[in-house]
Parts: sequence; C-alpha cells; structure tokens
Amino acid sequence: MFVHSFRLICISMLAVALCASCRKAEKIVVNERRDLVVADQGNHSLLAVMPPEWRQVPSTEFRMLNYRFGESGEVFVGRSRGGLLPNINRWLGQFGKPAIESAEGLPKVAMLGQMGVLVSASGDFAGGMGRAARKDAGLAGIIVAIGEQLITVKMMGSASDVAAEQERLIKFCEGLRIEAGAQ
Amino acid sequence: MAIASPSIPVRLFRFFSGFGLAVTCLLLLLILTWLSTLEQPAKGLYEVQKRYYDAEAWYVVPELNWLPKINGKPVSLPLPGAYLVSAVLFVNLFLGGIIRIRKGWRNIGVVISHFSMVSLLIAGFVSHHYSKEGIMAVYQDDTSDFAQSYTEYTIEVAEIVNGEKTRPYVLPAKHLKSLAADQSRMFELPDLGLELKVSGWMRNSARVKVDKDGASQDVVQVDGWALQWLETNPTEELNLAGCHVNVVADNEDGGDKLLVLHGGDPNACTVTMNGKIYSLRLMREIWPMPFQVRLDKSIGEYYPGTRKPSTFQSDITRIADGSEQSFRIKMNEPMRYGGYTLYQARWEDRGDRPMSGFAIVRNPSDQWPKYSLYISILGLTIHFGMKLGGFVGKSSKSKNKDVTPDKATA
Repeated sequence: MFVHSFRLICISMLAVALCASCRKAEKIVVNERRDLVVADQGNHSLLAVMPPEWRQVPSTEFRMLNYRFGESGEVFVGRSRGGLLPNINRWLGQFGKPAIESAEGLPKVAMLGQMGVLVSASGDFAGGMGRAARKDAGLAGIIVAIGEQLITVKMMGSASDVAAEQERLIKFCEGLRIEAGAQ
Repeated sequence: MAIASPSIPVRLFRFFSGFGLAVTCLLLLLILTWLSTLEQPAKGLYEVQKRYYDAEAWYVVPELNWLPKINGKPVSLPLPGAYLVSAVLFVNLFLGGIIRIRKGWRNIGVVISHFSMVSLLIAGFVSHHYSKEGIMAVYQDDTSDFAQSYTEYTIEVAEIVNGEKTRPYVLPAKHLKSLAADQSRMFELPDLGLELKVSGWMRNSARVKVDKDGASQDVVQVDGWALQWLETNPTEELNLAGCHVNVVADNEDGGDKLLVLHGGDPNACTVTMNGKIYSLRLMREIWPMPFQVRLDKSIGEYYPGTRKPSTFQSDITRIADGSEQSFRIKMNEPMRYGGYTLYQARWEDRGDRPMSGFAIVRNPSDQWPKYSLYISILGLTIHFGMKLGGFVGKSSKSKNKDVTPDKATA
C-alpha cells in the first residue's frame, strides 16, 4: 500500500516537472485598467496635442515637453527669461547669424493666447546646451511672452527635416493650451 | 495478544498534531526571525522579507558573515521558509490544539487559546495575500486622490486622444519583477490591439546618454538614451527599475518599435501605431483612492542638525461622496475610512511648502490580531483561573484535613 502510494507520488511529480519544462512561453493578457488620478495631469500646466509623426520622450529639467521626430529631429518646450530679443539673438548666434535689433519683422504665430515670434535659421550649428556641433542643421522656434517669463518651443534637426516639419510645429504651437485652473 | 501497529494515516495524524512538531515549528520561527533581523542591515527590509517570509520562499539559506567557513566559503545552512513553517504550525495547532485535544470543561481555556493562535495565523495569511500598502504624498494646500506603491513597478499603457491620457492599462507588477535580465515576457493588450515584449529588466538602473553612432552594438539605445545597470540598493524604495519594450500592433506594417523605459522618468514615452498615439511609462504602481485628501496644514520639526523629523501632524479634509470632513492625523493617530487606514509616515519641509506623506493600508485582517489577542486573554484567564480555583480548593481541603485531628485532640 505504502509503496504503491509512494510510486504514484513520484510519477505525478515527474509528470508535473516534464509539463513545466515543455510549457511554451506564456503570454500575459492585460485587461486591467485603472481610473485617472491627479498624477495623470502631469507635472506642468501645459496641455499639448502632438502630431502622431512625433514621439514623446521623457522631459528634463529644462524641457517641460520633449519630442523626437525622424532620425534625429527634436522639439522641446521650455521656459526662459531674459527678454524676447536676447533669446532670439542667442538662437541665431548658435547658427552664426547676425543679431537683429527688432523682432517686428519676424513671422507671428498664435500661441497660448498671445502672438509669438517664429525664428528660423539653417546652416552650421555651433553646439551648446549639451548638444554637439552639427553641419547643415536647421532651427525653427517660437517664443512667446507670458507675463514675465517666456515660453519657447524649439525644433532642431537637419535643415531638410526642420523645413519639412515646420508646418506641424506651427500647428502644435497653436494647439498648446494652459490647463484650466493652472496659473 | 500483540497490539496492531497504527495505520499510516493515523501515524501521519499523530505526527502533524504532535507536540514535538509544534515545538520544532516555534523554534524554527524564532531562529528565522533572529537570522532575518541580523541580515536586515546589510540586505535591506524588502530583500529579507522576500527571502525569508514570502509564500514563494520554500527555503532560505542565511547569508551572514559570521557563519563558519569551509574552504573559504560560508557554511550553507538551508532552513525552511517562514511561510512554510507557519503553514505547518497552522495545521499542527488545528489538528492538535482543536481536533485531537481532549475535550471537556477542564480544557476549555486551552482550546480557546489554541483557537486564538490559529486565528492569528489566519490573520497573517490574509494580510500576506490580500493587504495592500502605498504612500500618498501631498503638499500643503494640494489635494490628492491616489497612493503609490513603495516598491512595485508596473508599465502603464494608455491611448492619447486629443493630447489627453485615457484610462491606462496596467501590466501586473508580479510579472515584471520576476523577470531576470536575460529573460523576456510577452504581454497582450487585446483592447488596444498591442503586444509588448518586455526584456532587459533591471531592478536598479540609470538612464544614460550615449553617442548614437559611437555606441557599442550591444548597448540597446533609443534616441541616444540607454540604461545602465546599477547595484541593487538595500533600501528597495531607492531602486529605479529599467527595461526595454518592443511594441507591436495588429495590422501595423512598420514592424515593432523599441522603447527604453526608466523608473525615474517624470513622464511617459509615446509610440504611434496605426495612426494612434500610445503612451508607455514604467512607474511605481498607482492605487486610486475612493476619496480625496486635501492637506490644509502640515506641521513638523526635525531633530536638530538632521533631516529626520522628530514630530509631525497634519490637518486634512477628507472629500468623499460630495461631503467634506476635517481630521487631524498625528503619530499613532491614523484616520480610518472605508477599510483604508491612513497614517502619517513622512514629513518634509524644503522651504517652499511642507509635504506630508500618508501611508495608506487596506488590510482585511487589520483588526484580527487584536481580536485574537482578546480571545487568547480569555482562554488563558479561564485556564489559569480554573487552575488557581482548583489549587485554592485543594489547599483549603488539605488545611481542613490537617486542622480536624487537632480539634479532635483538643
């Protein structure tokens, strides 16, 4: 009786072990969803509708919103200080372009209830802010003054990529909004 | 006439209900508690709990420097896991202390005491499998409606519609944390028509920038970012998990898309599949609460010269079902509501606004140990009361016996 039971247990254990080793890699089906909470609103007050051609990547200290497109193109939204013109000239300076004395002649783009200025440049990018120097680069950026601070949306990449994406950039900027209740 | 030896089931019953097994289990639990306490400073609470007390930990090999060494290697001394020992003790107490024990009024106290120990073990079982714990961090004047796990990482996948996140799908944490670095696991999200292959799981990692062109082929990098493996921190809360995710969509011609996800990322990464944008984020599990907590006032003090709070308390407003109620939460004075216990576990003041961290626990067996203790007190009081009564009764009888002959002689 005992020997019979022992034999049965051994055979069962062997069968279980064999089944476990032969089992195909399981696929986990995920149906569980959770409700939205305040943390889902993000850590800043800007709401953006990104074009599906872009991809969002993690934001950084200076980039509230951070996107990539194509092979090496990038778009990022940040805050800045120091006045509209100095920032425009800093951007132009990165491409070795001469400084301008007034932003009046630059194209305007509606953004966050204000009219921002569109800054464009192409050529050799001198590098800066952690980015390497690059030849045949392009820049398209929009700066808008909100109170004392500036909101900047900057697109960088190869000159051809930036030229091709500029329309999407303008649409993106026009769609930016500040969350209700946020300051 | 020879006495027939007991059958195997009888022998098994006697073994599992025996006093010897009870003593062995209690001694093992004592040793396991002692060894795990000694290991905790080096290995950390999370790791030690996992190795010694988890349901999956059938056995444990203590890793202590002072253990004797043979050929330079510490002696390997496998011990049964605390969960297994507790399960055996439960069977033992149930069979021996409730079923096998001689029933009668004389033993009623002992039976009650055994029952209290059995219920204590059941409370432990329920707590181990069904309790949940998280932390709700709220800055003064802010309102929160969720708690976040201290240690469990999950990947959330949500469709983004008009720039807004929809309710996310949550990949179960247990299927992620069990992944080894060289393993991968497939997850299917049928409602979204997506499949995710999660690989390269790192319990602790850093997101590092790599030169796209100069990076070695072995380094998995996306958009110039890669993960760097880091030594596991004994304080599990400080570990930042990382992984690689290949996203595949039904009917998508472009093949899969690779993402590098890191637990320290402040927001999600996105992929576009079939014209739809999906966000993916590796993050500590979020636990929505059925109420909101507004932190009206957060008061605390640090020990002089340290960042360790010596005292803290919070005035909060609980918002639930359209009504608001004010509470004061202090050390050892939690707020209980709807099966949740909220007690203050952290306090911080970095100059801007103070922050209170509330540990939120939902444990169906929260109060059971207290009730078990009451039952135990009742059982032991009855038992020792009866013993005392018997002793007093016997003493007075023997006194009477001793006194009677003297009186007779008098």
